[in-house]
Amino acid sequence: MKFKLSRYVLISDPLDQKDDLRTERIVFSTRTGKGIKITNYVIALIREGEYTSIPDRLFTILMYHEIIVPEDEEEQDLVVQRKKLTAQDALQRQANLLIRDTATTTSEINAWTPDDLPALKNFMEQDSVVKTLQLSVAVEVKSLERGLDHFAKIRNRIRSFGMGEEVETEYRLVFINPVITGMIDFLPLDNPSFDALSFYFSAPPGKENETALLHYLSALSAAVKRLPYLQRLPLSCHFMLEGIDSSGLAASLPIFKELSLCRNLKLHIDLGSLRGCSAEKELSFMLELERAGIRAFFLPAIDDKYQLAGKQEMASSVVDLTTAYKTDVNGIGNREYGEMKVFYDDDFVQALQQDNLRCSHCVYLPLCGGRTGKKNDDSDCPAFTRNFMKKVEFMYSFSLEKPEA
Amino acid sequence: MTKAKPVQSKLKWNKSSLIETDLYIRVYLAALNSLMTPEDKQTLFVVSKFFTDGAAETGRGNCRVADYNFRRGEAYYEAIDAEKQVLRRMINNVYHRSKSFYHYRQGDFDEAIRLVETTLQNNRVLEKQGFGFLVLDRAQQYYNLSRIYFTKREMEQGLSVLSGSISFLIQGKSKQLPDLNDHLMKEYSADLKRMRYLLLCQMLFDTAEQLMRTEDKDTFLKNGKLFYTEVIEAAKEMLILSPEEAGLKKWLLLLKDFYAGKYTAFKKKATAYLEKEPNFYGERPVAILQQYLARA
Repeated sequence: MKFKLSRYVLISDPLDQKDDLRTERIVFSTRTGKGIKITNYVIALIREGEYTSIPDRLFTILMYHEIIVPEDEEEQDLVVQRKKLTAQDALQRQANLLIRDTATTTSEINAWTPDDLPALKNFMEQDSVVKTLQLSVAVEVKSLERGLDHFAKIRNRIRSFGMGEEVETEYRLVFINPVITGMIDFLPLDNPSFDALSFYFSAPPGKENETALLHYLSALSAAVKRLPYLQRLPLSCHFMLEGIDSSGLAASLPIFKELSLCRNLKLHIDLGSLRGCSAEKELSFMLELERAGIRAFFLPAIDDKYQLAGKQEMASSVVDLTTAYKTDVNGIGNREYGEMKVFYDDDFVQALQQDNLRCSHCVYLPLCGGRTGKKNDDSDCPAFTRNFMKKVEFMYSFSLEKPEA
Repeated sequence: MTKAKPVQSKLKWNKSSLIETDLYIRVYLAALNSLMTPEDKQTLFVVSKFFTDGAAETGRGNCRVADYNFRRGEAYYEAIDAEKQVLRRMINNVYHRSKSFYHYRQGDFDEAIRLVETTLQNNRVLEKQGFGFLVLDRAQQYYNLSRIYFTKREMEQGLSVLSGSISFLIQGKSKQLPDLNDHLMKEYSADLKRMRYLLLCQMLFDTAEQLMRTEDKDTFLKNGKLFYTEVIEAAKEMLILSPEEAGLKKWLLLLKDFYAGKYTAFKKKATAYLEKEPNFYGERPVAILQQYLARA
C-alpha cells in the first residue's frame, strides 16, 4: 500500500533557531484536530516517501492522526462525508428543547406525552442496544428562579416516560441572557436538578453593556466560589461579544482569568466572527487574552443554535431545536456560502450547503484544511493560513503550562 | 449523568484493553517484525485503523460514520493481493472483532456471534503460524461472546462461556471450551505469562463485580454458582507462575465455602484473609470480598 502526506496538514515554523535535521516542528492535522512534534528529519522522510524508514511506533501515531494517509484517498470527499454523517448521527441522539417564557404552565408540562416532544419520541423509537440521549433543555427566561422551577418539572415529566434501562441521559439546563443578580440566592445549595449547566450572554455594542458584562461575570464568579457543585458539574459559559472592543473588556479580564482556571468550566468567547468580525481583530484579541493568561475557547459555541432559533418567530412555547437548527441555518447560510464561493468551487459549496455544513474558514477547524477547491488556483484560503497556525501555536503554548491548583 | 445502571457496571466490550499496554504492543510488534515485511506491516496498521475507527464510532453511537469506515476498510482489504495470506488474516483479526461489535450494537446478535466464531477460527490458524499470543485474544473473544449472550438474556450460556474462558486462563485448559487447549501455558514466554495473568485478573474481577450487582438473593446465588463452580475447580489446579498468582488462588478458594452455603466458615476464613494477606491486585479483590462478607 502506498501513502502520502495529507493535504490537510499544517507544519509550523521550526521550534528552535538552528533548524537542522533534529529541530522539531509542530505538525497539525486539521482532519483530526491533533498535533504532534516531530523532527525535520522525519518530515523529510515523509516528503521523500521513505515510510519504511520510520519506526513503527511513530508511524502508527502519524497514521492514527491522519498525517499520513493512503495515497489514493480522495481527502476532500472523505472529510465532507465524515462531517455529514457525523452530523446526521449526532442529530439522531439529541433532543434539544427550547422552552420559551410563555405560558408553559405546570399543568401543561404534566400533561406532556412523548407525542408532544417529537424529537424525544423519535429517539425513543430507535432500535439499538445502547442508547445515549443528550437532552438539552434551554430555558429562555429572564428569571433564574422560574427557569429552575420549570426545569425540575420538565425533568420529572420526561423521566416518567420510562425510557428503559439502557438509556443514559444528561439533563443540561441552559440559560439565555438571564437576569443573574442575586444568582446565588436562587441556585440550590446542593443536589441540583441538572447534570450540566450553560449560560449564554450576548452583548450588543454599547458602553452600558460593557458594564453589564462585568456585573454578569462577578455574579458568576461568586456563585462558582460558593456552590461546590459548580466546581464539579460540566459548566459552560458562552460570551457572544460582537461589537465589544478589546479595550472595553479591560475591567473584565481578571474575572475571565479567574473563571478560566476552573477545571470543569468551558469558557467560550465569540467575537462574532461569523457575523463580520475580521480575522485580524479576532487574533489581536486572542493575543491580548493570552498576555492576560486566560484560557478560553475562541470558537463559536456549538450551541449557538439557541441564538439562531431565538431570531425566528416560533409559535409554540416548546421548540424542538433539533430540527429548528437545520432549517434556520439556511437563512444565515446564504451569506456565508456566498463568501465561500470566492475561494471554493461552486459544486463544493453546493455540497456543503445541501447538507447544512458550515465552513468555519478561519475560526473553527475548517472543512477544507484551508485549501481552495478552485481548479485553476492553488492558493490557500488567506484567512485560514494567516490565522489558524497562530491558533495552533497558541493552544500548544497553553498545553505546556501547568494549570494552577 | 442520570443512568439506570452506572456505566462501570456494564461488562465492557473487550477490544482489548491489553492492546493499550506496552507489553502487548511489544509482543505484537515482535511477532510482526519476524513474520511480515515492513510494507505489509504498515498496510496492516493503516487498513486496521478503518476497522478500529468503525468500532470506536459504533461505541459512540455514530452508526453512519462507523458504516462508512467499515466500507472504506473493506475496499482496501479487497485490493490486497490474495497471496498475502498472513496479512489478510491479521487484518481479519481486527475486522471481525470490530464488525462483530457493530452488529451487536445494531441488535443483530446472530451476525455478531458468527463473527466472533470466525475470529476464533482465524486466530487458531494464525497461532500456528507464529502468532501464539493470540490464544489470549481468543480468551477475550469468549468474553465478548458472553456479553452477547447476556444481552440476549441467555444467562446460562453466557456464564458457561465466561467460566470456560477464565478457567482456561487459570489452569491452562478448559473443559467447556476445549479448543483453547491447543497450547501449553507452561511453555509461554515471560511476556506472555505476564499478559495471561493481567488478562485473568481483569476478566475475573470485571465479572465478579458485575455479578455482585444482582440484588435478588436467589438470582445472585444461582448465577454465582453457574459461574464459579468450574472456576473454583480450576483454581485448585491453578498454574502458578509468580508469587502474586498464589494470592489470587487463595482468594478464589475462599469463595468455595460461600457458594457451598458454609457461611460461618467463609466469614472466618475471609476475615482472617483480609487481615493477613497482602494485596495481590490492588483494591478490587479486597472490595469484592468485603461485599461477599456483607452478604454472608
